[in-house]
Amino acid sequence: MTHREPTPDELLSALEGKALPGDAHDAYLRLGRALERAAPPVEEPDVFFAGRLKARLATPMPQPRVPIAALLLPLVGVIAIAAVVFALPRQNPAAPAAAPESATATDASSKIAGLGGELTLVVGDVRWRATATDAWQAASEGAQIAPGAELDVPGNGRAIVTLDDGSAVRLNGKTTLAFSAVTREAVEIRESRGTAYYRVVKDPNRTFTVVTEEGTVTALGTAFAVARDAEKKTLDVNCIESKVKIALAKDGTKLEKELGQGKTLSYDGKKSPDAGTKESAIDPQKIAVVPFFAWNITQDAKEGAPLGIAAEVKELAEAADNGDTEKVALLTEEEQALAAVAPEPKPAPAPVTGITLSGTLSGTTAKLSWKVNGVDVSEGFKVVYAKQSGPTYPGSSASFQGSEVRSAAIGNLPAGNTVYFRVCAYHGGGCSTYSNEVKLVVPAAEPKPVSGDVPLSLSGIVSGTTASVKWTATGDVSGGFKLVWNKTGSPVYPGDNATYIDGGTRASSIKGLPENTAVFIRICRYTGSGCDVYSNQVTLQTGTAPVKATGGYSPISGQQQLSVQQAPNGMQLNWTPSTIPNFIYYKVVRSETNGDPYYPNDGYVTAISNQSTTGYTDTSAISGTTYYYRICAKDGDGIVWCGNVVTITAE
Amino acid sequence: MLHTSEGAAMAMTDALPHRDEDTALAIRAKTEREAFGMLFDRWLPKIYGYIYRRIGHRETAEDLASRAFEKAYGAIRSFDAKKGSWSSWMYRIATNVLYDHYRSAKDVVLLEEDAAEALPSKEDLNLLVDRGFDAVRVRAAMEGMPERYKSAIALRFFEERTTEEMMEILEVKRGTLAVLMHRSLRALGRRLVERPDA
Repeated sequence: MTHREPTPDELLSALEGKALPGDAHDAYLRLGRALERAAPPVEEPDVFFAGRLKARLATPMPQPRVPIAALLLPLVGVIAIAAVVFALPRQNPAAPAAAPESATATDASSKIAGLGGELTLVVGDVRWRATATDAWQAASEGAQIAPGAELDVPGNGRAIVTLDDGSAVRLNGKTTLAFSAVTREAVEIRESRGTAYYRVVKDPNRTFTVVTEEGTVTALGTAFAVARDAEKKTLDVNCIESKVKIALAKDGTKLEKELGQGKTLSYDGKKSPDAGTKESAIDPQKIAVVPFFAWNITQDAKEGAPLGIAAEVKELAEAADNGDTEKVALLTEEEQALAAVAPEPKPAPAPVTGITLSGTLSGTTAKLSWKVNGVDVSEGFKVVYAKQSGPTYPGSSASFQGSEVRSAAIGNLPAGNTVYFRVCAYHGGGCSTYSNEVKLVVPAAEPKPVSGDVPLSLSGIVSGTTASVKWTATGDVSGGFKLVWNKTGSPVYPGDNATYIDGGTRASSIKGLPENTAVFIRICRYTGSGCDVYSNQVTLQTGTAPVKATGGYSPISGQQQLSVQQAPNGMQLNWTPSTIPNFIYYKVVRSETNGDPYYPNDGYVTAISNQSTTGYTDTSAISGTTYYYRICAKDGDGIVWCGNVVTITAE
Repeated sequence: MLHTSEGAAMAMTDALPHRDEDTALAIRAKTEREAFGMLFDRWLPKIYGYIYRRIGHRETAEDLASRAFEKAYGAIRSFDAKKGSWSSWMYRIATNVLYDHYRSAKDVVLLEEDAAEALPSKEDLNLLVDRGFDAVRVRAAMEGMPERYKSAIALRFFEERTTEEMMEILEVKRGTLAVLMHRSLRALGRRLVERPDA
């Protein structure tokens, strides 16, 4: 009976378990089952991947229709330094002012998104909310800043928001900002109180505006910072580098002007712009020792460049940022008042007093214990760890431990890596107090000695820069293998070049090896973090990279060695068996014209899928004709391996 | 599911996160960050694996899995359980992330193949299955296939999604899915038969 192809509906039903009609063939079903068995293996992600991603997601819930994915655009690498405005709140009271027209925030959420921001530094108490109507909640580093988000530093803390284009917004204590627009076309920040420093990456296609009740400040392709005293309705703008545009409006009177580098514009918002503004020169020596500005110079230095007038007072500012009180004495009364706002918070969580951590390693497991003295740990702990010093929560890999717990084991650490641990007191979404740091060096996986009873046995051959290997394995290999190689011998995982292979596979290839080099290859049993059992080592000498050409082949010696004899019924071919891994089939190649025949260039007289078959009789040879015979074999990677050529004339 | 025995089917079902429970969590996740965290813990390995099997490169798979979860997190308030389960929603996001990735790499194949194109014979297909093939060949053969075919193959045979889930993930009706599965298997079978070195 000839079986027809099943219809799509029949096939789908069959895939669901129903029977196919009797006259439909089941070849697709069989293919489907084979596909399930041949699902590509999955290489484990980096050991810290999940922790990092989860920490990044551990931000306040986003608002509807805010495309968080847009926040992931790569940072622009080059910061164009142009202008910074630095503003100090003034002390002199003045009359109330109406909001200028330009102070109206635009609805950023309706614009095309494409720029986002992240809270990259939190010092002290910093609060966050998704929109003005939400309740404030504690902010933590890594929080995503989407249009509508608001930040508040109620006390003496500080915060830095880094936008996706590299621009930075730094908040002093007692400062409140709303990110009313964060798009590729426009960044608009409403600053309702306090002092912020804006370092803006130059982008001619994007405006960057700070809006206050008294007026707006626009970076002219540059960066700036603004401070506002909400009670006194005053606005002070200090331009540190390049220039900014300031627009003020009150009672129908408007004033627009550009403020140049090194200048301060002070506006008493209770007066009209004409009467209430005063422009003066900044004294770099004085401003450099205002703690918030000194801190900003230090931050800018971290990004590689002091800005404008700050460059000349960088050392002074850094001294002030380090707490050199003698120089701070230069401050005026007003500046001293500002200095009191944020008395020296330090960016990094300090190693602490109240939690003392110690730890040891056992294989790839860290055993940690800690003591607590005088710290509120009622909400438990986070054990945080990372490959870099200074792990934090959120941000690093973390493990929660209850308030009564004083020890923990962290397993499956990456072999051959240094891992840094701290324990911190957990308080709803963040950590308040960190322990000292414990550094543990996880030893590289130690290969077990190879004996005559190895559960893994590897063999392989090389063609050009491609090695083909196969292996046998006994015991539990459900966790899969790592195929490892290097140029020095005894390759290990982790440490050397490695490919994950699932536990059901016994052959593979390594392509793109270095040319004309001895490479050392082993297969090892993968444990999830390293390897515990290694095979024997196979050493292969690579050749030159094969020229990518249709119909090329890889010559092979020591196998597929062909001999041809005239037999009564045709030409009798016999060859030595192929040992190539991942063998698919032999092709018996015959040409009447090409002395270097190969598959598929010269076709074939038959294909043989049994690797142990080593003979064939060619009954189609014509008497008196000279033939070039060759045995080629193809493997699962598509490589064609061809042995010697035998020339013979049929009788 | 194409399981060889009922026992295997049971084991696989038990191994997968429970669909209804996850959907209930997704509803909670609209307002509770912790609920999204639980979904993340349960589903990251599945979604990463789905992407890795399609991409075959760890760092890229990590990047795309991150994008998928960040998209999901950003859009969780728009999740509508009436329109489908969490798993289908999450797989759809991951599928779209993959599609965007290939589209940005400009090697995406959009056109579906002509149904009248040469079919692999059942003899060839049977021979192929008899000889066996491995994941390397499957991945190589899938390269260059239309994106929808790749998604159909991966979701059905690697991720073992049901017909109902695939209809939700790919946003197609049953008849369309049937045609898609049929064509996908035919195209992959032909590639495996004709181009073992694909």
